[in-house]
Amino acid sequence: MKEGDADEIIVEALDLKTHFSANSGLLQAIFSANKQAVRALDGVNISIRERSVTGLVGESGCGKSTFGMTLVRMHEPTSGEIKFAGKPVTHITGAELKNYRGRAQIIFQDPYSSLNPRLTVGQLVEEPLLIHKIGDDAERAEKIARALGHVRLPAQEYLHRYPSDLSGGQRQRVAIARALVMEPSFIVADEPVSMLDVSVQAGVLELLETLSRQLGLAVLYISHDIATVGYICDRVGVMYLGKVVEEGPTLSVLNEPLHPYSERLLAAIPKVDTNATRNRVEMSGEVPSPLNVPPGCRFSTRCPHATDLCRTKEPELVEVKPDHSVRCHLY
Amino acid sequence: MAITFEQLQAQLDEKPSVHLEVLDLAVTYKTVKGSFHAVDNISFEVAPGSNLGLVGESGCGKSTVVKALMRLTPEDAALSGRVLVNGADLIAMNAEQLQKVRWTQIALVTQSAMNSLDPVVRVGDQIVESIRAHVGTSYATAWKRAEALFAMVGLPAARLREYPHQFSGGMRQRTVIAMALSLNAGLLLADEPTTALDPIMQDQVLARIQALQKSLHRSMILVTHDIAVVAETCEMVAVMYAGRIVEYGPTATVLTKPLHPYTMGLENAFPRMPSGDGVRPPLISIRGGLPNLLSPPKGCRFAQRCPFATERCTTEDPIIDIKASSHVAACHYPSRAEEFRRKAAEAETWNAMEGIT
Amino acid sequence: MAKTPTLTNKAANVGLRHRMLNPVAMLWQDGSARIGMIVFFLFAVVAIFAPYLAPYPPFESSLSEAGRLRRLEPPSIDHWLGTTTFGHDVFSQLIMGFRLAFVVGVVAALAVGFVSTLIGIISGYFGGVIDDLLMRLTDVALSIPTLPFAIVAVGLLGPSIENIILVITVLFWRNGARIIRSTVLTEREKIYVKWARTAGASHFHIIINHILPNVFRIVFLWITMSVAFAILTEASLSFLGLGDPTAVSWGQMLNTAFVSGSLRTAWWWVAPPSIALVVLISSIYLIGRGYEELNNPRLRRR
Repeated sequence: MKEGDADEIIVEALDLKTHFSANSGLLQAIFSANKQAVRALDGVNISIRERSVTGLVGESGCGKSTFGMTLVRMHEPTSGEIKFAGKPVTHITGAELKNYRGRAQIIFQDPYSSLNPRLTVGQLVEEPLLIHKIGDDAERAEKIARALGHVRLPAQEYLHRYPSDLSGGQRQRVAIARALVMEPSFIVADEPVSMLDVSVQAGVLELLETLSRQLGLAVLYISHDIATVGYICDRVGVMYLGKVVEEGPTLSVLNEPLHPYSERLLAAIPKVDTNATRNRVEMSGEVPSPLNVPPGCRFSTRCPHATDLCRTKEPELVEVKPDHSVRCHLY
Repeated sequence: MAITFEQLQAQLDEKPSVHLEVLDLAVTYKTVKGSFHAVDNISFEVAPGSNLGLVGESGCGKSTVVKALMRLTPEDAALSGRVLVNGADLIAMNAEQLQKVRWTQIALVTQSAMNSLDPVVRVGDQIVESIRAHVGTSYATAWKRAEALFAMVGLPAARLREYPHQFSGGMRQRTVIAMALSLNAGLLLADEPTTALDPIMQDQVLARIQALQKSLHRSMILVTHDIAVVAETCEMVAVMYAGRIVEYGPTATVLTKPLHPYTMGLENAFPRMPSGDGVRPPLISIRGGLPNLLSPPKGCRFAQRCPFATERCTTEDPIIDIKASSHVAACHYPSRAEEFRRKAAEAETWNAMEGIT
Repeated sequence: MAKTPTLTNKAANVGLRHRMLNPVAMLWQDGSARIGMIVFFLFAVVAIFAPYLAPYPPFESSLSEAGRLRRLEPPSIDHWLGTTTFGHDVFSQLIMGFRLAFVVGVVAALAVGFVSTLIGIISGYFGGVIDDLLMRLTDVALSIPTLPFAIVAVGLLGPSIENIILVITVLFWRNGARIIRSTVLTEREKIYVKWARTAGASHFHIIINHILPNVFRIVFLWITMSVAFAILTEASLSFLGLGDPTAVSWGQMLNTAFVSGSLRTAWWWVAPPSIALVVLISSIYLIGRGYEELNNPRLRRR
């Protein structure tokens, strides 16, 4: 392992669960006897260290975005614990919560709707400082210039421009600057490049990685695109139906996946190299609904190796290789 | 006169696949600020029974090409050039003639399956409707055809009786493909058919499309931003940039020995898996942005972002002639391609350019 | 704006001014809206300078040289639009009527705009029980029949301009609240609103900085349309004899003409207020229509 080992854990999720009520509306809430729960996030353990980028991959609906939103306390966790710099922040409120919101920032997927079109770049980046009543005019101007410098947008040129004048990549840089201006120690990047053109994705990814190293940030990189994870992540977790099924160093997970689901996910990526023949793996069925999680292993309904044990007993996360764990009865 | 299922099948099986020739196709939008050249004199060809990949990033005009081929461009768009569908010029056709070509000869699969399906009509009835709109046949016969189509795309026939909202995204996309295949059109236009799907579902839908292409021998244009999808699906590829085709040729050659610096950049920027020995691939991005198509720059449209551009590139427009050779590019320096390819594989080459992605 | 970012204060002010002027500048491009705006502006000028433009006090009875009341005289040099059955100058009453129409129209519309925006934003932004309660209240309000309610309410409260404005406000906030709420519902889902929450912003901050500026267009449209509703309602009430007796209004002129039995004979007395009413209301509808067209591309002519 690299220098990352000595770095401290910034954010830690311990058996974190976020369930949503499936019954919406007043009438349903009153008359429906059995309350169904959408088990979006169903017991996740992840720790994110400073100066590192941790990846979280999975298909839509697997709970990866719910996890990100729960970590920044936008969803109320049903159970489990979130620790930030060693202290629990799971249920903090008021000033404490506001303080945490300043230190844990989030970058959203859609650079077109995450910036208010009526504000200039300067105003957008300044907003968090105003929300937290930080500094006077001059101090704020300096902080904004510094944040824009970090994302390599020259302040002189961009301060007074509106989002509509910017490309997708530039907008995403503004969103990153807006997160950095609070000098956070933790950033959740929820699919930050999936709406950008391929030719500009790398620029934003590289920026995230560099910033994490330079500023000592703990970054959680959430993506459905496993290939991009290989570029910037030190560690990666694979999620399926609300649980992490495999977790370990990026190269180990990407090159030698252990869980049958990870294998299939990796096998599904088309290859640019026309000579390489890819072993397509047919997979039966679809992802079950988080309203109706199958008993035993969550993947057992689609797994070609599933046994009776898989269908009855949920496997534990076990360390199979150094630092590389998997939740599967095969190991 | 209503025909039987066997007659319908035989009639559809007889249909030839389309030979499409596009010559100097241009789509120009009139705006208050002047003419916007969304597609600027492009030419390409799809041989009967072959697949062409149309690759490019947002704003390159690839979706406009699809609209133009279906003659679905808005009224304020001016079309010029020729689109020959088995020799008949689509651009010159009137509404009545178009009606005979659309869907029966050229069928469209779009990205958002949800928008192509009527939420209040059963899926089977929608397919039946699309068949009976073009062929005089009974409901029962058309339903039989719908069952055959569902089998082709790998969906159980029983689900024909369900509504679109009961389907998952992947199933909806397959339904739309089944609809496009309903009249065995000679040319299939697939506009980002798998972009909205999750990786595993995308893979399964692509596998389906590939298998169908093999068995049915239809011609297909696959429009996508994902060069890997094209690499696996299409024999020929056209790379578009800023309203033009910048490179055109057999997919394997274009991807292994690209001639145009944009193709090189695009390919190198494509996310790759780390190699077995644990080396991370370089992060390559193309600096700068698309030129303003309201007043396109002189010379090559990629010149401002091209690390190899010379003065000639900013003054003289490179010409691409698809008849000249099997693999062509709109670049002044095809002979230096070898050198460009070597340099384009390094991130520094691209990072030396000005501008922010 | 409590928390308008200060760094780029200049830009912010420009932005704000831009936001306020933008609708007007935009509307100017639309032919029919431009006509509406010109007419509306001319009417507004007349309303402002009404006391100086009216040749006689509106309720002054005009006497002939012989000392007789000049009742129901057709237009003449002395009385451009003739006189009423009480010998009042029709032209002066018409001019003063502009003023009342504008006071009622603008004040009531602003009040309606304020109440509907407040309820629409609170209901749409906070959702949940608050939304349920406010929307059920709106449903009740929507079931009130307009004119009967207005007649009874003004009858009970007494006929004064203030009471008429109050009744109009009570009657017309309901549709506005519904429309604004639905816009807020879409605005609330914007990612930048979600982001502001994650950044620790208060609801007040989000409403002022992100919601309000983006529903402003709808509020503006609703206020414009409310001017028309308010003027029409005031005219109806006055025509029914429930107008403020101390002020002149077009509806009241028509009422007096009707009550005195001159509706069919004294065209010079009946036509001017009717035409003025129709022209003013049409001009507002033209503005509203143009505004909608500009904001809804589907309506936009190619």
